[in-house]
Amino acid sequence: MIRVAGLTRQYGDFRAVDDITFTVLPGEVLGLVGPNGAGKTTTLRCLAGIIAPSQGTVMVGEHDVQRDPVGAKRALAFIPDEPHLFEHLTVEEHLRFIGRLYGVADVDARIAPLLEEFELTAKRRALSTELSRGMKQKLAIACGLLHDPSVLILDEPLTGLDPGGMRKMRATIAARARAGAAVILSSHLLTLVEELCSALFVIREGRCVAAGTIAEIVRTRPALAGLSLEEQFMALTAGDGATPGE
Amino acid sequence: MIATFAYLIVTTARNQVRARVARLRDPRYAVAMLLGLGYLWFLYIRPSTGRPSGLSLDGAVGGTLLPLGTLLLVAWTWLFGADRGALAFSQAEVTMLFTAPVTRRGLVLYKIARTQLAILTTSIVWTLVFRQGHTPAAALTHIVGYWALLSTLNLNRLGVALVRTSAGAHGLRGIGRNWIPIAMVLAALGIVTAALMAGLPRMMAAESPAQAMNAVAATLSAGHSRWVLLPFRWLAAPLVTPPGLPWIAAMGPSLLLLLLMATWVLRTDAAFEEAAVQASAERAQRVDAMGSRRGTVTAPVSGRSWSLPLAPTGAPAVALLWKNAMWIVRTGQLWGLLAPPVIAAACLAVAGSGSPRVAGVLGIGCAVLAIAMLLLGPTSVRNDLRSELLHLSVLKTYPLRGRDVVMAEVGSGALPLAGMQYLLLLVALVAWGLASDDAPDTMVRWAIAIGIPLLLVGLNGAVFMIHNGIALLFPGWVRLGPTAGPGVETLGLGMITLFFSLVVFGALLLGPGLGAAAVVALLRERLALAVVLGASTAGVLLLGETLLCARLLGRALDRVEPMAVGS
Repeated sequence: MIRVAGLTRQYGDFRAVDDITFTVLPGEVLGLVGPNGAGKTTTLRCLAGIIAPSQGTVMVGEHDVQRDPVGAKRALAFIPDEPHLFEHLTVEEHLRFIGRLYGVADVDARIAPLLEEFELTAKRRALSTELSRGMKQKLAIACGLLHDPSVLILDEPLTGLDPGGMRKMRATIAARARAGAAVILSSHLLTLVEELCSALFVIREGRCVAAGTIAEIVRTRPALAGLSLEEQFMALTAGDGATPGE
Repeated sequence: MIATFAYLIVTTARNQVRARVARLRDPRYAVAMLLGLGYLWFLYIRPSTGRPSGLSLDGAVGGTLLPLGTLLLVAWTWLFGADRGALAFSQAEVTMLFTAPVTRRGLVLYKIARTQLAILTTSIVWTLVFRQGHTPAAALTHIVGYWALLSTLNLNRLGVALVRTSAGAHGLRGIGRNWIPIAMVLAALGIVTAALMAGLPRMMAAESPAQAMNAVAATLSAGHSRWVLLPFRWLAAPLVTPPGLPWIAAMGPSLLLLLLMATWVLRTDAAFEEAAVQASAERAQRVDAMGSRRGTVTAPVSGRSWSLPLAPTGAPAVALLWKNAMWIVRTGQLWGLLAPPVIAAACLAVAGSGSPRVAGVLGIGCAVLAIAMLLLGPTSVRNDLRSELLHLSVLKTYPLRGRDVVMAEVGSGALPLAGMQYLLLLVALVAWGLASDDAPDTMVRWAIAIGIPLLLVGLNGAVFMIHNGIALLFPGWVRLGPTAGPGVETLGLGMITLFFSLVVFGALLLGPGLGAAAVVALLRERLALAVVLGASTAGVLLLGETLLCARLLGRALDRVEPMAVGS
């Protein structure tokens, strides 16, 4: 479970994230959506402990990300849109490295199925520089999943994947949620969000403009009824400061 | 199209200058800029009354060595040099220009034009460095002279790369185009070498370097080598001719060569785009590799079949040590560290046992290298925070405390270097015993061998901690990966960093030094024991200081954000 309360992140006078609050329970998939520059990546980076919030708290299970960052990070995985890999390590060595970092005792038993799941078995001895963009992304995702995180934070996870890879990735995310992980998914692919997410959290200019299931959002904003997801997104994130139904 | 290229080049340069000026709002960069300017003024610009003139291109040096050096550069480019790297564009240029309605010649023209600013800057710097131009007119003529020379050499490099590409694209016909200039270059080299060989007795008979230089000049000014070197003398002439009409006359042939070279390059028929795109991709990959991992090291990654073992459980920070050790193994730097002591030991085994003098020289060499590596090692072994900070956003997702990360990163560089120094000192100790009857007895040499490992780890730990600390606390002062830009303030920052490092290192040595001295004083009757315990005490105290620093820096690492270090 991840609980976010009053999260604010300020850069000088600019509030990139402004007082947002939400909870993602085990098994839930929260879709974090918003236009470019809305504050999604800043939010995700705060949740992952990469940057510190100016105000507010982030709890991963019982661990406060600010007060007990090591405990919190052990329970979560953050998979950015751009895979950052080590050029001098092979695919398998990346997984061993992550295994040691997270203290995965049965790393040997976990590596083979993960490589199989992400179709990397044939590349297990390849250096990361020898991988295609999509394979790099798959390896980054495999590294994130190796320690079986209870909170999974994904920033545009399908970037660079081929259609087959996208399909598998969707299945993987769903499977992890079914297995009890709390998942936060940021993506501009609204179909992906619609397919996977049990709830949406829409932000614009750092603030929450809508939260809940699509049905709940539509219930509070009747003007959205009958619109496609894309039209609903456009309406919710329009820059005039007003949203339908408000 | 020329106007478009000019716009791109000028606006890029203007924005780079603006960014650099904006950086000066930060006081540390402003101070560094002043220091850098002061350094340049002191060394190269201040009035030279009563000072030696320093490097000079006047006389035989400029008239003989410069044309000869230019010939060698051109020959090198034709024989080994200009690879496709000369054709490389930035990824943005490939994306924007190669897809735009620009002709091949237009792209080559842009490539030539883009280098002009860098060439002009280099010309100004060289004019300062060689202290040419005590008057504004003389300075200007030298700047123009360097510009013409460097532009011609640059065009030659680009042209050779195009010709080689053409050879690849046109098969035998292309190879035919390629071997004729190579044969000409080889012939020119042969003529000059033969002339130098013939004049060797005269040069050897010279009683001073100046006489030897004059002998070289006389040799190369006669016979066929005179004609071979003529175009290179034309290129060098503006640099050795005083301002005024003679200089204008000297510029004529130089500019003519430049024009001919530019015409040749622009008319070269080559499968330019494909080669340029490939070269650009290779360059981008190299830059990305340097940025993503390891600073200056560009050695090919190798030896993947061999891996260091890593237990799945235990202290998590060991994973970072392991990862950085893998870098040392796979970039070949391990062999670079092992080679000096191994070669020294082999030399000692072969020649040292029979010759005390050789053993002495080897021993001193090893000891000096070991000490030098303490200060110089961290500039080449950078598998620590100085590289890792570029990926701080990844590092911060790891379930590690800041101090553990700092210790692992510091250990990644300090331990391999300490190992190398230890091996060097072992060779030095053996050599010492072979070289001199006055060497301390075997017991003391054993004591040194036993006592210094801890000391070396402590010393290297302290040095690497300083380098990592500066990178973490003042990321703008050091080069993180390949991001360092040129500029006067960079020079000043380097000076400040060096000064700061030495002061901190001195302060860190104070306590351990006193501790070791106290131990040695107490045990002076038992020298061997005093050496072991004295060195170990200093090592332990240094490690204690390093651990303390790691705690402090760990807090800083926990607080620092990726944006602050450009990650």
